[in-house]
Amino acid sequence: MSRPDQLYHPEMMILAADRSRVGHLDGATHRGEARNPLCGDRLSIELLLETPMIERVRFEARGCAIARASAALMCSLVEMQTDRVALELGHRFREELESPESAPIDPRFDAFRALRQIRSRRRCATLAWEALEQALEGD
Amino acid sequence: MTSLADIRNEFPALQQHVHGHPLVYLDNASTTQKPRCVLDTIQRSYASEYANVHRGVHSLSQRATEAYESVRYEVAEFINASDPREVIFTAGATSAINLVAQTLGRSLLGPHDEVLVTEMEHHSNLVPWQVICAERGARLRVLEIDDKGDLKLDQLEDVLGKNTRIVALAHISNTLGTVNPVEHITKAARRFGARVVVDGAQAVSHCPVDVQSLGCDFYAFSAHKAYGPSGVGVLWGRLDLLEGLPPWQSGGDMVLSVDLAGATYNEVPHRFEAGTPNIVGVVGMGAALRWIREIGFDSIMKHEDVLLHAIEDRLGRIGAVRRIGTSSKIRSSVSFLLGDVHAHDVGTILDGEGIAVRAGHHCTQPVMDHFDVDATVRASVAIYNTVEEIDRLADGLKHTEEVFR
Repeated sequence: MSRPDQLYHPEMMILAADRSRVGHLDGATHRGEARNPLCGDRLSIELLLETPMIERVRFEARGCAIARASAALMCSLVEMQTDRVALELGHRFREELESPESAPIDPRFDAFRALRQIRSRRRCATLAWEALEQALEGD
Repeated sequence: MTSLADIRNEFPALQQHVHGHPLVYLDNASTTQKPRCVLDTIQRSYASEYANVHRGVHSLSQRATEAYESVRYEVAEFINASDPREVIFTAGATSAINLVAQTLGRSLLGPHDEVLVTEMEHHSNLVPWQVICAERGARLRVLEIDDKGDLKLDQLEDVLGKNTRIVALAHISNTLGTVNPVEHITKAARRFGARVVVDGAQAVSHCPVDVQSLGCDFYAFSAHKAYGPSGVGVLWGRLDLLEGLPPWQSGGDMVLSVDLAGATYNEVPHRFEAGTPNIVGVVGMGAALRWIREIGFDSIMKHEDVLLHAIEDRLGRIGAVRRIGTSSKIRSSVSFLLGDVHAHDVGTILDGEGIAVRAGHHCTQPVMDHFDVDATVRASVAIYNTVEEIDRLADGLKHTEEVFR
């Protein structure tokens, strides 16, 4: 079983510290927010959608390192992708977290592998994807 | 006096390792571990004394009823109630507060009436009052806290007055650890004829509770925070008040007679205990309260003070620690932040070291708003913790700092 502190490996910490897509997006066409009622964490995203392409995306997080890292990764993955591909990525991410610990993992999500064993922190990682879904599907 | 080693040996859960480390359990404000006598009592109750209570004529039912009802007397003695009928068994403190909010609230509240709560309340002593105030058109008022986490008593006169019908407050804050001056507030409330409801969830295992000297009208607590089983608790209320309240939940056991046109309600306390109660839970709670009395509050308070001072001392030596709640009257719980590391990350790193603390808003989001934080780390002690465990907490926090450096 993974030790909880194995979550905090260098790749995760680099993602958590990545502020390149943090902030407000002028001209955003879509906005979404997700909250974790268990801990009070909040994560909001703004994106510019030139249908069907997500041109730019920015996020702001009041949350833990896992939530920030996941948001940074998500933003980097969905930029210049279609909205459909972005939503599919979110489903894929959740499926990867639900998979057995020993199963192969999509290398894009490898930083979050330890969450397969640490269920209590999965919601931290899916918060950004919830905000994305709300932005794209909420209107 | 029982030695600390002997006390620890009574708790099977404390003997385990977590992630390769001996468990350090500092999440006692959430729930405490259970001594063997409670576990044995629960097992014995199910194995040889179990039947439904009150309605049976057979021997097993009578034994179960005696075991169940005897706890009512023990609880009454534990909190110095004047009559065991004042003890109502509930599913826990939340259930107890909902019971009093829905019955007392329905009896007393109307438009222009006010309920006073404090800014530090657990959601379970806040939301039930929000709900009943909304239902009755009453106004919810709030006694604020200062930046140490003490109630602003100098503002009490501003929020307490002739329209105040109910005052609801925690005996001890579950997040800040602040021990509130309940006697002072009940005296002030009495001047306006307001009823006082005290959430004692964080108090009953840490200090003696005397409902007479507190001067309150209702007192609620859960067994599971006091070494007892989960799913059971107590609402104590003054008999004359309870007798004037309408029932809350209805069903079997809370009625004297029923026909198709209506029902005559049972006497207090059975009027408030509809349906088959948590029989074994109540019996287990009795064992827990006996265990606490055997240890004695002099020993409990003395030892927990040593632990609290150790926490304050060790945290004080870590520059990045910011305490949330620095009242001079703290008991059992200490909340803090570690630099800009999120509380959940601190909690997860500590878990990797085998140390269990709470991270989050602790069901006190108004407290988080007051201190402009999203979440805190909370270390909360019980009689079985050791100073060496506090040292391990400090070491774990230093390790956390290194991970996030």
